[in-house]
Amino acid sequence: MADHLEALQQVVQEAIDDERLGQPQFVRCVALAPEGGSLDSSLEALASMGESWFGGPAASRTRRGEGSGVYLTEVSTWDTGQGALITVSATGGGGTADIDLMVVGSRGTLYHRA
Amino acid sequence: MSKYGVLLAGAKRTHQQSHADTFAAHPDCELVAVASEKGDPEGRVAQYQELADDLGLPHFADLDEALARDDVHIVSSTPAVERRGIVAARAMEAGKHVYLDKPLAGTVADLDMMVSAAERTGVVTQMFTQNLAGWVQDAKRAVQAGEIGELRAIHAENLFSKGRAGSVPKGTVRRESENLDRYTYLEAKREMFDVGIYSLGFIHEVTGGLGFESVLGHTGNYFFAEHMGAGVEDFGVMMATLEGGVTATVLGGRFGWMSHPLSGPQKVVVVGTEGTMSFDPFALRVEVYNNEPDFVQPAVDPYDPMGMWGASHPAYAPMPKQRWMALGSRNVMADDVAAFVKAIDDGTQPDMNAKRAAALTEVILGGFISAARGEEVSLPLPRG
Repeated sequence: MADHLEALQQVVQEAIDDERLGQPQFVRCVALAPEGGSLDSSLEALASMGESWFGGPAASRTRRGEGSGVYLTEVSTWDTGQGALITVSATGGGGTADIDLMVVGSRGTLYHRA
Repeated sequence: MSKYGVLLAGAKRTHQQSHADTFAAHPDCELVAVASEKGDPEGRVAQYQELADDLGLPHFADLDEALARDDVHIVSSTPAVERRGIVAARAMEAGKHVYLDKPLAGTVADLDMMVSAAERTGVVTQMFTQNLAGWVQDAKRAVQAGEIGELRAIHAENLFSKGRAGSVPKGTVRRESENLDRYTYLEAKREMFDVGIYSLGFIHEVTGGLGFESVLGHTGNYFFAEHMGAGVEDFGVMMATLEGGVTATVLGGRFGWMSHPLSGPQKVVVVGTEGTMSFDPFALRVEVYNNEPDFVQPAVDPYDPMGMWGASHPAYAPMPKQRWMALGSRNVMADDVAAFVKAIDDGTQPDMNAKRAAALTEVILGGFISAARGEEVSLPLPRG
């Protein structure tokens, strides 16, 4: 998953740098934690991708699901107006993608599902 | 059996156009008239008259006069958000069954007025949702059958791929307000309000109606200068806690003609103790690539710049998006209206009656307050 995320981060950054989305405004990501990996570290990895695309750390982060062992969900907001919603679950199956990402920009949207 | 007479309490360039088409196509219904309210502004009355002319129906300028007619059994209620409470309540008090535009109303007082009238009169009420769509029902069945174990979290999203995005000035930061005194504009609507209600409907349907205990909201002016100028959001996210500690997340908004291959993303993800499942109306599709022209966003319609309603002139009509063809898609409003009419036949209350629709609408009002305060808000909201 780490290689996947690294490649994904780069290609999304290219799309942003090339102004194909306009201003990046919102990230929605639903992902499965890798087998044996922690929910917390998976969510932090995804959150850091969002922070890199938005150019800095979130001003507020509100998390649910801590201690459940099943999922973590976080809503983050930036002082510059952007937002992110990330959910990581520990239980897969049912044809669920490992990662389902939507990066919403001011004039376009990027989708990735794998 | 004689048909149910349907009174259209809503003008052109509202959802009444699609409501009217759907009721007209129902074999047990017939359109009777269009009705506006005494005191409606002249321009708005003209829009009611325009709808009546389009449909070949009489237009009553006095709603109460129309409601007094014996041949009116159903009211399709789609006035401006600011008038939804009083119009629906008057229709209920007149003993008419009411099919309600979504969301129900823009204030807690209006929501309470509608619920009170519905309970007092016992008429059949239903707010339009997309809950009967096959993919939503698939999600409901999976949860009910225990396919994911015990439900712990649910995500629902619905975004409209309409409007010319990219006009919002760089660096725009939305500051939400608790004072929701206006919802109706030519060029903009509150989009977390108007589109997010579908996502909340999905959550209601899939969870079997778990109540909402709190909500955290964040709204944005991400795409459209028109929305920023009107002071209304074009996008919103909410995170809520449901009965039993289930976490629900919701996206709703309008993000531009070019941001999706079809009408916009719709999705429900359910997370349980034994599995996670995702449901999406476009997951099963064929994709067609050929020498037909790609979709190009239409010219801006001066009477409908965001593409909310039908084009005011063929020159502004959007070309069809044809690359994706979803499998098994149905007319969700036809199914919803059919369920409403069946409830009248059976003498039962639909699942999405005024009371339940009010509770979902109140979640969004709480989301606005939360976004303005920057803190989680408990539900139900305080009264008085």
